[in-house]
Amino acid sequence: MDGNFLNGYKVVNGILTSEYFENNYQNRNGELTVTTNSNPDCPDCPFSVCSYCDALDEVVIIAGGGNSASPINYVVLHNIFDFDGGGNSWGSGGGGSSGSSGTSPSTSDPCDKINSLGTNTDFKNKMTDLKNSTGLNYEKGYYIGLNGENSFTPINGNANQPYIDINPSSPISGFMHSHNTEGDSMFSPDDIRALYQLYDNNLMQNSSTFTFSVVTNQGTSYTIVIDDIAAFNNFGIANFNNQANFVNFSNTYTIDFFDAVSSGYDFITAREIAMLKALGNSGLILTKATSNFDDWKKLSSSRTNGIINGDCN
Amino acid sequence: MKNIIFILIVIFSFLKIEAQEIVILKKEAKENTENIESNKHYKVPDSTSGKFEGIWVYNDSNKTFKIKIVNTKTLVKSSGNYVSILKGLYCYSDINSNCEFIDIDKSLFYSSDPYKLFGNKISFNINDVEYKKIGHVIFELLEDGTVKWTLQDREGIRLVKSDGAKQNKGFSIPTNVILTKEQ
Repeated sequence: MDGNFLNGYKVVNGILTSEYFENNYQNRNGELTVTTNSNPDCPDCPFSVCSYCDALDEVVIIAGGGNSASPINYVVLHNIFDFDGGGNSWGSGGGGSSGSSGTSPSTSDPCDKINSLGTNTDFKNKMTDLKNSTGLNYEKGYYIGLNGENSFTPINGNANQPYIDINPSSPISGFMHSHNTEGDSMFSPDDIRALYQLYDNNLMQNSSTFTFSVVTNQGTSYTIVIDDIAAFNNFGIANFNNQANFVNFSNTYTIDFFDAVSSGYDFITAREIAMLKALGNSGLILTKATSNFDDWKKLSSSRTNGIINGDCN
Repeated sequence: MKNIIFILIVIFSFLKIEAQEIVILKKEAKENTENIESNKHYKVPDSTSGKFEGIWVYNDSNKTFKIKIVNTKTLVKSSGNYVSILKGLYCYSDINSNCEFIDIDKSLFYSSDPYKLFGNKISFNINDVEYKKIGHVIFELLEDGTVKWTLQDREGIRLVKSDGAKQNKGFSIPTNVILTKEQ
């Protein structure tokens, strides 16, 4: 079997401990040639050919290294291989990056953040502004924290268009937006993808306190926070890193909504059910506000697929 | 013994299939239920969904655009139910070449609630393979038996790429045309 050596990794007890990269080990054609199985003479070498370990440099990886304080002790395929031409996110010798090296440490409890929203006057005022804007023919939004702590910087969509193109110039602490008369009562699949892209593009100041909110023309309002950044990273890679997976994510959400409506649920509840299913194992918490944004409850699926409003703790 | 177990499994499988209840949805949405029951097969009457099914065509002097829509019994993995839902494929080619439904990624997926099927205006998600984006199709059956096809951007927040590139504007396929049914 012929092939090009790209990268090698050593995992001990589930912990990623080493990265191997090429050190001038090439044949005449500039390629490695794999010819045999493992050599018993070099039990410490993780590769099937002893000489790889002689010829490759080893970089010891310290979990939680890089710029991320999250103790990432695994490596995901996206970080190793170059998908969609974007290049991998591992600098040689850096290591430990989860693909979002600019995201600040996960030092705060996301539920503390959620529970504080009901007393955050600035936040509630802007949500009220969005609520009063759902009858417009465009979507409104605010970057949170773009121009200083607790700042709200407006960003609007175009007239008669159901989307907002966002392009924050630096990491933000949150984002909120409205759905107008043409919009659904819930985050759209594209909204969820954008949340992941903000993370993946290092545009969150702090992943554990980042808030992502929507106010809709149907009178509903929701905020998502990230409870498990590693799970969210894996969820995003699985669903949003190529078009086919995103199509599948979107269609699955649609069919769950169709099923819930067919079962007799009203449209708002059916979208909540479908979104909770779509966000299964995502590491995200979906919360819903009272009409005046004073109280936020965590939404969960009940055993019978209904919705439970509970405290976030 | 293994054969007996195998036969029992086959028998129970058939019993399970037979136990699946077909629920024909009516025009008026039913009252709220307390839970999503499993092993149901939800569908509207065949004549209701059937009016949207078939091959729909638009031609101009240079291009042929075709949509094929079928009603498909589909498993809802999260609940164990089945739903009959409209799905489709599209092709878009030069007028002199065959427009064939050979690329399964060029797909449409019904995106309205089931009760919209009782009317004349429904919507689909469409995967524009060339532009790598999902669009929102409004598919409106007109009184003369043709269909008004309107393709728009979907609702959502869209992050502009770090190089400033926005998502492709528009679509690689027609956005506002009248389709006629292929006989």
